[in-house]
Amino acid sequence: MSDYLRAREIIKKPVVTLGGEAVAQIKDVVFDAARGDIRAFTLSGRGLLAGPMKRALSWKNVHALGPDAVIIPDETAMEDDAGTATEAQDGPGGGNVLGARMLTASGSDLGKINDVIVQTGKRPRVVGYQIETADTARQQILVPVLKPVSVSGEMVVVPDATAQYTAGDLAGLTAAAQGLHNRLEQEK
Amino acid sequence: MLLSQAVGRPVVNVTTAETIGTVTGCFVSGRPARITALHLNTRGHGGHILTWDNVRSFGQDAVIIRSMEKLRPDKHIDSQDPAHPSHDPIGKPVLTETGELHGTVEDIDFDQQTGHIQRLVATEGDMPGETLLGSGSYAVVTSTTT
Repeated sequence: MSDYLRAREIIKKPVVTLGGEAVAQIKDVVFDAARGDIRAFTLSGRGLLAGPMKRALSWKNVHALGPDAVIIPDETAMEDDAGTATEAQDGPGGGNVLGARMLTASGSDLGKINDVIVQTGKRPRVVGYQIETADTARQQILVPVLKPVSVSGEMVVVPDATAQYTAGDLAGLTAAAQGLHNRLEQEK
Repeated sequence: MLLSQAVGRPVVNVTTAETIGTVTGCFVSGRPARITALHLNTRGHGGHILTWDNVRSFGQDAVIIRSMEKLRPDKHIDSQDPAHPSHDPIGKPVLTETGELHGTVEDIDFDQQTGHIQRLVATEGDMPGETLLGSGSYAVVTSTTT
């Protein structure tokens, strides 16, 4: 279970209960800017005539995140009041991680974050970010994030070593994350 | 036995010695994985649902029931009900609990004495019956740990 998914790819995926019912689909991903993590999903109904639902799905209530569906234990996993799951959006450092800059602890700008990479499986978690590099080449690169130094809606500050462990595609991210992990262990 | 072999088998009311219809499909539940009900095509009356506990015997040539009283016409079944025709597992996508599609259900291998599901036959390989977690109108969900 080391498959990665871009957060944007989660949008439109069906939300399916363990009982096999599709109860909603993912409308949008709500980021927790304070932790650089995913906080919740907003939902919309399924089908042609379905509009947005006044329900949200907290990250902690997700049973598993997969390439074909988001699995929840049952319908009660969805919260009635979308506000509880999404309120922190406007809190301190609010806003969205997408669009924020990635800066190393020593002050070099790595680029602009345009997607979040999530590991699928039963314990889905954010493993890195996709950034558009700050130089003129404007490449899309993937950056593993193990322990961000600090996160705000404006920027994500990462350890200096991060800049040396980037990947061009999702397949290379595992090795990059492993390399960074070993490096950070040595620095302790 | 395979469900595909059970389909078309006559259903006989042992009290009146009459054939009341034929088996057309089934409904299943997970944890434990078993057949919960059969869907019947009853002559002149459309479809009916027969819950497994009302099957007296699932024989080689006929399914025996004791009375007609327990048959429920499928027209009166709410779409949320697990016995609604939209919950028939055959042809449904198989979705693992980690959210990966694994083909569609082609057949179900079950014990005709107990209704216990031994094996799910899917287009992308068979799965042990005990992996079945649930079956709904969208998909059949299976666990990844066997």
